[in-house]
Amino acid sequence: MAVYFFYGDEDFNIEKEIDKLKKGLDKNFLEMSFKTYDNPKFPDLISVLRSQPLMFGKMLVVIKCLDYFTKTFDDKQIKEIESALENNNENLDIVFVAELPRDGGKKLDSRKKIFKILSKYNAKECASIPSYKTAELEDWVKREAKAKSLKINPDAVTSLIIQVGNNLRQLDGELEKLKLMCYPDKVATKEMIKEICISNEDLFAFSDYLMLGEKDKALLEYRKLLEKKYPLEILSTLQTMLRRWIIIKAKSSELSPFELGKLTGQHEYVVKLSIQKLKKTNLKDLVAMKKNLTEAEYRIKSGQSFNVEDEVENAFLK
Amino acid sequence: MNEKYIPLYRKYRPQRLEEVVGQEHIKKALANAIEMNKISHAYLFTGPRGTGKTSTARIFAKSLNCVNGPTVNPCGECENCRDITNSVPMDVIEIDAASNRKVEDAQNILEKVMYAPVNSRYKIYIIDEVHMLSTTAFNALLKTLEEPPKNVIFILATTEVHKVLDTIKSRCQRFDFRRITTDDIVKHLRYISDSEKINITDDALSTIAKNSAGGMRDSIALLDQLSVLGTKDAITTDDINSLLGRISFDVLHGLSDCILDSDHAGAVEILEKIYNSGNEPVQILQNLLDYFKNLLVVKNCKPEISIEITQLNELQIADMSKQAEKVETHQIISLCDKCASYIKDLKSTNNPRLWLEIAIIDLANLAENTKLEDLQARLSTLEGGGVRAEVYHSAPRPEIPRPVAAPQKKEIYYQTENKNEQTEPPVEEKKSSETVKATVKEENHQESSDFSPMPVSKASSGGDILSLWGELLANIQSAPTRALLKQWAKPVKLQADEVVITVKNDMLLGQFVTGSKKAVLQKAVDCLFNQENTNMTIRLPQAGDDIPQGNVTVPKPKPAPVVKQSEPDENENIEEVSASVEVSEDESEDSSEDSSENSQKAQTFEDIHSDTVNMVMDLFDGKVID
Repeated sequence: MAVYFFYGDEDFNIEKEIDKLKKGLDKNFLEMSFKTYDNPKFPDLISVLRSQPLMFGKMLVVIKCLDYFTKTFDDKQIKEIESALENNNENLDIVFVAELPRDGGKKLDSRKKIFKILSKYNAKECASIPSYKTAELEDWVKREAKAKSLKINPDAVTSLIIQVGNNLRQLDGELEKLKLMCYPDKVATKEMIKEICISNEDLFAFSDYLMLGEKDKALLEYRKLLEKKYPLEILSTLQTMLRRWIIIKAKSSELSPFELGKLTGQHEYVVKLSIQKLKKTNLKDLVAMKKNLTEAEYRIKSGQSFNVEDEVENAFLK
Repeated sequence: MNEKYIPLYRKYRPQRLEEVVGQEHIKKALANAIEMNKISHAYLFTGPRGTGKTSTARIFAKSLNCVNGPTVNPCGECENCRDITNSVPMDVIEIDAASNRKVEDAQNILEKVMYAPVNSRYKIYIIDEVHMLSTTAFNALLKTLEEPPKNVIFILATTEVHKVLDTIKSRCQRFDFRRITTDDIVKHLRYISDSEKINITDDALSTIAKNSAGGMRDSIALLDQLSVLGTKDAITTDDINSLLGRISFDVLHGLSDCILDSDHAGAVEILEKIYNSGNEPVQILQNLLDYFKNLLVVKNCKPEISIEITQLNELQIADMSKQAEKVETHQIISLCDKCASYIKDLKSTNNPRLWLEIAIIDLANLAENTKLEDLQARLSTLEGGGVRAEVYHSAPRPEIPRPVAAPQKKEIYYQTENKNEQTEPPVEEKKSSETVKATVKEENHQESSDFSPMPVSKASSGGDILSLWGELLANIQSAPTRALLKQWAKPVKLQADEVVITVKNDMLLGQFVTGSKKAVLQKAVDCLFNQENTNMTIRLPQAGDDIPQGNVTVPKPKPAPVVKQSEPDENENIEEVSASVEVSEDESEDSSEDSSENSQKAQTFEDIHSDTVNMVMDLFDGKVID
C-alpha cells in the first residue's frame, strides 16, 4: 500500500527506518513476507511492484535502487513504474533505498524523473551528521544512550565523539559495549571510553591536534591515517587546511566569519569553529609548519626523499 | 620428535577468562555480556600478536557452549569444554583465513552456517587472521555477518584490522587487545619457570619480556628455547643475547648510544659483534634507521603515546627517553636521512661491509657538535668572536622582533674597537684566549667541553680596558651619572671576577659607595659581564694604580624606535654636567625611555602587524591578502 523512499549516506538510519517497518510484519512468516532486491532490472522491478503477499498479513519489499539514478528509464518505462506504484497491492509495503557511499560527497540527481516520482511518496533523506556538528552528534548519542538505559557523563559523550567520529553505527556499537562495561549500574565515564572504545582514524582530528600544537597526538593520528591513505594525499589535504587557517588567523581581526568563509571557501560555522580553535595558535608557527610541509612536498615530488612517510612526519615534528 | 612434548606457550595457554594475562577491560566486558545474556552475533578481536585474541575467542566459545553455561567459568570437564581444549569441537569451527581466503571458502562456510549446532547451544565460527580474506570473500560473508542465523556467532581475529572492510567492522562488536605490560609478562614467566623448574634470573626474565614487545607468546617461546640450554647455573641475560643472535633492542641501544656519544671505537666494536653474528649490512642499517625513527617519536611524544606508536614496551621507552635527552630533534632527523642514504648506497656497492663501517663512523661524526648551541658557538668562532651568540637549549622559535630601547647588553663580552688590535702579538692573543675561555666555562657549565674555544683577537691591554669602560658607560641608564663617571672616574680593573674603579674625590666616592648612583653602576657592570652581583670596588686613586691612558669613546647605543620625544627626566639632581655632544644625544634618548614606553608598545604592535602581514603575503605571493 505504502511506498517509502529512503536515501542518503547514513545507512544506519536507513536500516533503523526499515526495522521500524519490519516490526509490522508477522514474525512467523518473516522469511516469506520480507524480501530484498538489489537494483532489479526493469521487468523484475515491475513484477516486484505488482507482487502479492504469499501468506496472511503484510509484505515488505526493499528495493535497493542506487543504480536507477545513473541510468535512464525511457518515458514508457517511467509511466509503467508510476502506474505500478499507484496501483500496488494494499498489503504490500515498498521501500526504495538509495544508500550513498559514506564520505563520498555525492548526492542523488534530483532532476531525474525517477527521483521526482519517488519523492512524491514518503521520501526521507538520511544524511550523515557532519563531524563538526558536535552538538548534534552529542544529542544523538545522549538520546541513544537513554534508549539503551545507559547513564553517560557529558564529558564522556564528547570524548566518545572525538574518538569514534560521526559514524552512527559505530557509535551505537560502542554504546552497547559501554553498557556491558557499566553493568550493573555504573555511569559511563571518559576513562571507560578511553579503555574500551575504538579509536578511528580521522583527518580532522589529526589537523585539529596540529592546530593546537599537540604534535604527539597528531603523530598518532597520522600513523592511523597512513594505514589507509598515501602520505601525499594527507599532505595535500593538510596544505589546503593550513592555507585556510593562516588566512583565518591573519584576517580574523579585520573580517567577519562570513567574509572569511567566502575568502576560504568554507561555511561560516566552520570558520567560527576554526577561529575558536586557532585562538591559542601562533600565526608564525602555522607559517613555519606550512613552509616545512611545502619543503617536504618538494622533496617527495622531486624524488629526493628516501621515505615518503617519514618525510611528512619529520616535516611536522620539526 | 617426542610426541609428548608440548611447547610451553601451548601448555600454558589460558583456559579461563581470568587466566588471560592483562586485557582486563575485555575480560570484564565479555564476562558481563555472558552474565547479561547479551551475546552479539559477531565479534572482532584485534591487537598485536601474542596478546590473547585466539585464546580469548576459544575461552569465550567454551563459556557459551559449556553444558553448565553460558557461564563465565566453564567447567572444563564436559564434552564441549574438552573438545574445545583438544581443538576437536563439533560446533566451534576454527578457520585460518590465511589459507582459506578465496570466495569459494567463504561460500563453504555460508553453506554450513544454516545448519543448527549439533550438540551445543551455539555454532561458533572463529576466523583467525581474517584480514587475509579476499574482498570478494569478505563481501560474500557480509550479509551473513549482518544477520546470521539464530545461534550462530562469528568471532573474527586479526592483527591488521585496517585491512578488514569497514562494512565488516561496523557489523561486529570490536575489542582492541593491548600489549601486555612487562611486569605482567615477567610475573607470568616466573610462574611458568617455577612450574617447569627452569633456573632463570629475574633480570633474564625482564630481558625476555623487553625483547618481546608486549607479546606473551614470543616471551614464552623464548623461555622454552632457553629451558633446553640445560645449564646448572641460572640462565642469565648473556645467555639470552647469545641465543637471540639477531639485533636485539639492547644491542641497538648500545650502538646508537656510541653513535650519539661520537664514540667511534665503541660503535665499530658493537658493529663487529652484530656483523659476526650473521646480520646483513643492509639489515643492520635498516634496524638502526627504525631505532632512530623510534627515538624521534620518543623525543617528541609523551610516553603513553610513544608506546602506542613505536610498539615498544615501557622499559624500552624509558631507556630511549634517557637517550633522547642527549640529542635534538634535528640531529635525529639528520641521522635518519643519513641512514636512509647509506642504505641506498649499500645496495649498489660491492663491498658492503666497508661501507657499513664508513656509515657508522659517519653517523657518529654527524652527532658530534651539531646541537644548535654547538653550531652557534662554532658560528661565533667563525665570525671572529666579538659577540657571543645566545645559547638555545631547544630549537629556537621564530619570535616577533621587539624594538628595544637599551642596547643589547647581556651577550656582549667584548667589543672590537678597531681592526688594528687584531695585529697584536700572538703570545698575548693566546693569553687572552685562555682568559676568555675560562670565563665562558664559568658562565655556562652546560656547554660541551669538546668544541673549540672562541678565538679572541684582543688582549687585555689598557686599550681593552678603555673599550670595556666605554661599554660600561654606555650601559649606564642615567645620563648625568654617565657624564659624571666619564669625567671624574677611571677604571683600574675591569674583569668579570673583579671591577675596580677610582673616583676623583670623597664626595663622589660617597655618592658611588653609599648613594643612589651605586645601584645604577652595579647594574651596568652586571650587564657588561652578563652576571649578577659582580664584585665591584669604588675607591680613591692610589699610588701604583695602573690607569690606562687614552680617550674613552662611548659607543652609541642602538637608537630606540621612539615615535615622539618626551620630557627629560628631572628626578635626578644634575651635579655636574659637561658632557660631550654624544652624551647629550644619549641623554635625550635615555631620559625619554620611561615616558616613551607607551609609544614603544604602539610601535611594537605596528612591527608585529607589518611582520605578520609581510610573512603571510610572502607565503601567498601577496595574492590572497591583497
